[in-house]
Amino acid sequence: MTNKQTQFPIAVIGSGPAGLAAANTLLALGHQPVIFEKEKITGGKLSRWHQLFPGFISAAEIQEQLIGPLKKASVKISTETEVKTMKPDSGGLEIETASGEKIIAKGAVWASGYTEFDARRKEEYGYGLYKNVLTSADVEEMLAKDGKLPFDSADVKRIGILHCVGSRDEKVGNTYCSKVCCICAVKQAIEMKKLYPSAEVFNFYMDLRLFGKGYEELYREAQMDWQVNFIRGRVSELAEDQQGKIRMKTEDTLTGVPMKMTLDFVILMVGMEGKRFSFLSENKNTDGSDFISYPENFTGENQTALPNVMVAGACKGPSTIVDAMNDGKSAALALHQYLISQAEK
Amino acid sequence: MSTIPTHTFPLFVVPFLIGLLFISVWLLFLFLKWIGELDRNGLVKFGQNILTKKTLRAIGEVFMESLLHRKLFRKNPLLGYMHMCFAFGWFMIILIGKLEVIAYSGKITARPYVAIFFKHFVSPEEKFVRSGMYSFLMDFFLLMILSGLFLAALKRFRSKTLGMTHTTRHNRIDRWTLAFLWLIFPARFLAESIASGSEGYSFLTGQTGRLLASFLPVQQMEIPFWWIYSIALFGFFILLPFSRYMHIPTEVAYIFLKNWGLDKRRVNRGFTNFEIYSCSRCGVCIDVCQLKTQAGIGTVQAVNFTRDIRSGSLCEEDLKNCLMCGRCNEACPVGIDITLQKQMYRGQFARFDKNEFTYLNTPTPAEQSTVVYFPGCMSSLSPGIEQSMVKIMEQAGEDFKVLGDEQRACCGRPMLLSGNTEAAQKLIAFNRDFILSSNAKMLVTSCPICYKMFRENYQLPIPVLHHSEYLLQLAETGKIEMEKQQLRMVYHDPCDLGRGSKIYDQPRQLLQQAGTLVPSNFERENALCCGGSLGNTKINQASKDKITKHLVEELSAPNPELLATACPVCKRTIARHSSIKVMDIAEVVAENIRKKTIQPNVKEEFESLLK
Ligand SMILES: Cc1cc2nc3c(=O)[nH]c(=O)nc-3n(C[C@H](O)[C@H](O)[C@H](O)COP(=O)(O)OP(=O)(O)OC[C@H]3O[C@@H](n4cnc5c(N)ncnc54)[C@H](O)[C@@H]3O)c2cc1C
Ligand code: SF4
Ligand code: SF4
Ligand code: SF4
Repeated sequence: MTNKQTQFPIAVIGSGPAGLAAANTLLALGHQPVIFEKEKITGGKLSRWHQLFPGFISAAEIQEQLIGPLKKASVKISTETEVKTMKPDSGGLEIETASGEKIIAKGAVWASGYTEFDARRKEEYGYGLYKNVLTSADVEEMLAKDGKLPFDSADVKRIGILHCVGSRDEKVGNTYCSKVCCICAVKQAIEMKKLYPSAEVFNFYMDLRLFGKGYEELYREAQMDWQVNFIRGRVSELAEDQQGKIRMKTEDTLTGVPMKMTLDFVILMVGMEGKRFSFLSENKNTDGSDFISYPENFTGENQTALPNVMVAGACKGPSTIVDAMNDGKSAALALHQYLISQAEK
Repeated sequence: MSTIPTHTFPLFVVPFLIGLLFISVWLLFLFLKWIGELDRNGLVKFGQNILTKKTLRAIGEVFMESLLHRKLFRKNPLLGYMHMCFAFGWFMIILIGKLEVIAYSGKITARPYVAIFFKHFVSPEEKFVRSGMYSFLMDFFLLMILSGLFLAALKRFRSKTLGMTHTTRHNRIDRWTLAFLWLIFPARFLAESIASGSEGYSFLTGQTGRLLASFLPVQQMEIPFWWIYSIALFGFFILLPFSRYMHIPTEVAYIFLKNWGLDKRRVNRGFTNFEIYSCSRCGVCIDVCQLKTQAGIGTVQAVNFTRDIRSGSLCEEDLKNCLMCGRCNEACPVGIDITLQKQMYRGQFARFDKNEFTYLNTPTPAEQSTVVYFPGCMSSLSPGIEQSMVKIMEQAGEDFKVLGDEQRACCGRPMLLSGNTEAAQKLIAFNRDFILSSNAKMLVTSCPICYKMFRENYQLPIPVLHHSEYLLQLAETGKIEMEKQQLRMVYHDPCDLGRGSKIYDQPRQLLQQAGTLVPSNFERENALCCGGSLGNTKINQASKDKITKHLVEELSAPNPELLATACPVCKRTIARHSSIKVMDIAEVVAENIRKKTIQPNVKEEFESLLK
């Protein structure tokens, strides 16, 4: 009944876990969603990750579970279509893409996700300059693609993993915690031990934020079963020596001892950054971040400035995949309720 | 020739005489005390140079600066004119007044008050040699002072008219002194006008006198006005040493000491006092300070600093909340070296732990090379600079050695800026030994902070070059060539390189070989601080950000494609807030360097591949 109200579809912006979960929910509620994705491929970050924490489930598998039902229902996914702006329209909503195309929709779920912190902005770590410095996202992509990293197992003796790169750092303008990088670092440390069993792995953290179910256990496993070393301290700088090895300086803030160490390669746990869209919300976040701000009032957390647009996922702030998916479902439901209430009027 | 009747000793001259005596004795006592506090080196310089032409130069400078206020004129013509009116006008009145008395009496030894109250003693009818000219000149300079007074009043009530956004506030003594100062010349003007009655001396007092005489009983008013004039002089002289106006006599003494070559760089309290008391509290340093204009921090500027020292209320928080950018040094019309003063005073709050840096005592001998490149701690935080330098030096075929972080310590400038001279000395000794052990012919650094330190505090026997100088040399001697691009660039002068070391042209000449430089509103001496200064240990991130954002706005205004600078700290600080790409000059050069046909390193690589 609701979907027969008008011939217009419901738009979902972003095909990451949040967007896909929203589309699935809309489908289940009897709507006809169409998905707009600015990249060539669908799945958001999911399409780039290898195995997901905490249970090492393959990201490709999860993506398949999310996309399968949509394909079956021939939900249209327009890739390489970036949505630029949206405004109210007599049909509900006018959506304008970057190429200038205008589409009318009844409503929309906005799930544009986050961007990874550009590690080159943290110049002292030499990302982009030193070939043995990678980001956590690089590692995921390499593992997803070839199942290995471009370092010869026999040469690798020490691996460093740096937490909080671009998060909780006033100097780069991001004071907030990106939430998932600690547990992701624990997961990648174990993966490194699996790939390079004879190498030592050192995680340098400020403090460990392991809030989710099974996270603390994974951390214990990393220490007990995999002998991963966790050292509290922020690394001040990295330098490259003649052989391309990375020399690192830090201070163990638990013992107060300055440390220098040579590492074969280093992984930077990059944080998340948001992007503001003025048509969704004019408000600023209290932490100064650029994530889309939303009413933090428990019951209206998907709402935006446009009544028929709901916002979901990591575009609102750092989140895990499960949280992003749940938020996507919640947004779909909120939109559904709104459309019903409008129809009843 | 006429004589002044000796029996006339009008009582109203007494306040003036007491004031004059007081200020003479006081200044003599104070200046001698400060001179006594000079160190040996200072006293030697004092003795050596007092009878040389340096003294003449000092007299010239006193005339130009203390009387004509040339520098202030350049900064702010209206303000300069105002100060000139007071200083030069008053000086001329004293001088011409003296000459007038001599011309009148034919003697040089007239009593001191005669010139001051001349028109009381000599009536307008009495003519003497060139009496008309003297009267005219006296009136002319009086008018000059009165016009300055008018501007001064305007400034007090509407400082913006004189192009200043911020002025200094007067304390109670200042206000009283000012009141007396402002009273002196109107009182003199009226007293002289009344004394001239219907006869008149010259155009100003004469005309006014005639006007007043036409409707007032001027006969009975003359003595009271002379009293007011004398009391105003008395008040001004008595209060002057305790007010901001103490700068007037001190600056004169300061100019002499400066010209005699006394070295500020030594901790030299005697000299410091002269400098601190020379501050006129003109407030020019407030408007140039970005802590004030961008971050709203208004208690740390040079003018506050000198006041706090004079009143003994200097606090650590304010002293250390300063970017040490040197913008106020450049602006100060008196030429006070505020940053050096602050550095010295910061020593009071520095603590040195003997066990610090003990690990520095084990130097490994350096490898021999012609050029030693010292990236410095800050370049390590921006590794692209070091990589670019290595690339360029390799292409140029230079015999060089990069000092890695095992082979160098911090240059010591952060320690020195925080007043910890002892700690700085330890670092200096370590680096110096190591650099010298390499037998290098030249030391190159890509950090302006290290550069300033090497030049001023290391006494190295080899030339020290900032990489902008060095790279320009390489380009000029044909060792490297650049491809000129269609690239619009704005160059940002780093504080320690520009104002601190006067290197303005080399980076610009270098950049011009790689693209086109477009000017911004803040260039060279006038350049802004990026806000990332290592000299400020008290500022918070939010204030820093405000300063940086404003700079980035200014640099981006001409719409460049690239922001270029020559300092790793500036580069990192600016990059944090800039949407336009930021690069160090070394990176710009390395990116646009033209490949030479035969490169030794390529050959080596090729050979190693064949193996
Ligand atoms: C290195 C790393 C590893 C991680 N590993 C895990 C893990 O193992 N387990 C886990 O739970 N979480 C993990 N995360 C977190 C996870 O990536 C996020 O929770 C998740 O991606 C959020 O989903 P999303 O749909 O909100 O956003 P995204 O995944 O960012 O998807 C947003 C999509 O929207 C598209 N888009 C953006 N703007 C527009 C527009 N204007 N028009 C059209 N399309 C647009 C984007 O191209 C993108 O495809 C990891 C994060 C990082 C950085
Ligand atoms: S989750 Fe951990 S690594 Fe990531 S920002 Fe928070 S504390 Fe830092
Ligand atoms: S320090 Fe210089 S500029 Fe500042 S008030 Fe004093 S004299 Fe003027
Ligand atoms: S040195 Fe710079 S920051 Fe410090 S008082 Fe002077 S202008 Fe202000």
